[in-house]
Amino acid sequence: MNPDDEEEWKAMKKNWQRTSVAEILMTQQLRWGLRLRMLGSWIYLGFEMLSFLLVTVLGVIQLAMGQAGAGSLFIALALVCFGASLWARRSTLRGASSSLPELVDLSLRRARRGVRMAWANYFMTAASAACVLVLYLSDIGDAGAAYHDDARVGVAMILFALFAVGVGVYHAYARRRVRRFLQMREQLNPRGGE
Amino acid sequence: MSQRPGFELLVAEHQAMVARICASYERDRDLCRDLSQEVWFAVWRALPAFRAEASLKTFVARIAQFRAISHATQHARRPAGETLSPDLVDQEPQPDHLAIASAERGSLLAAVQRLPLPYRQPVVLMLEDFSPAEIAALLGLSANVVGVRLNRARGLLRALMEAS
Repeated sequence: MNPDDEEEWKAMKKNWQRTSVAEILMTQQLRWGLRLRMLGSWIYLGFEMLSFLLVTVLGVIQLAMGQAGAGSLFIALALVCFGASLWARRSTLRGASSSLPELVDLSLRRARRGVRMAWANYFMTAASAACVLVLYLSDIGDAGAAYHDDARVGVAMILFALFAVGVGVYHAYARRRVRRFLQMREQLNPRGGE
Repeated sequence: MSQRPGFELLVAEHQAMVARICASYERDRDLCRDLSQEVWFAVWRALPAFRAEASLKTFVARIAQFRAISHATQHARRPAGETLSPDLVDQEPQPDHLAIASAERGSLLAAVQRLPLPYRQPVVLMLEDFSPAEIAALLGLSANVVGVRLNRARGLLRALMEAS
């Protein structure tokens, strides 16, 4: 950098650093908003831990009642959810120490994973609904079994539909994120010229 | 309140930088404050990952840049105001020389806001006193590319400020 350039930058830096938008932005409103979000984050974590604990306790109760299958299933579910939560939190932290393009790539990968998860959920919902319908329409088992009961099957179908709508909303969100991060990567690395 | 020790101090120390980075990407005052809050929340969440490989200032600036660019991309379809929001830069009272200085600051911020994204990023960091080497590491670019972008950006800034 030649001395003239340096002088020009120096003058601009001086001017820039006196540009104080801080007083306007650092209002009590901002501080309280931040505190509320932090509190919300801890409450969310608390609920998450409480639900893991609840499912584990349910599993232990089932095991104590001699229901080994259901008990193990509950405990396995709690462990899987706990692991997934830890994994999600860990990947958030891992992203924080990367450079900007790496952060964008990481976010892009996460968004793409979200799209894949949405597709997997559509598939699982459709497969589950198909299983319920096949059981309902077939002669398998006792005619009085839950899967032959009109009301229960109806409720199950409504729940599947609601879940699919929820997945649809998440899918749209994940696709929008993928588009945004692709656009961001494109803007950060314009082709040619350098 | 369950906050990491020193977080309030970190906010107090670097809020001016975060506010300026946010203002470089968002002209609307309320959205700028929301963005600033978003940045600090992200810093708070990422703080356990801080390994002191770089300074805390670099750590905060990286997160601020990422959030700000993400915000700008998200709101890219919103029609951009041609002029700087008048209440974004602090207005100083009466004396003429202060008013001129305030206007200069406003025109620098307005010029920075109009720079294309690849130029705006290194310029904002340069104005925040990061060295070209630090900027290169932070943006994942080579020192040469940073040099070229800064050089072109300086010319653009000068032209934009003269035009305003």
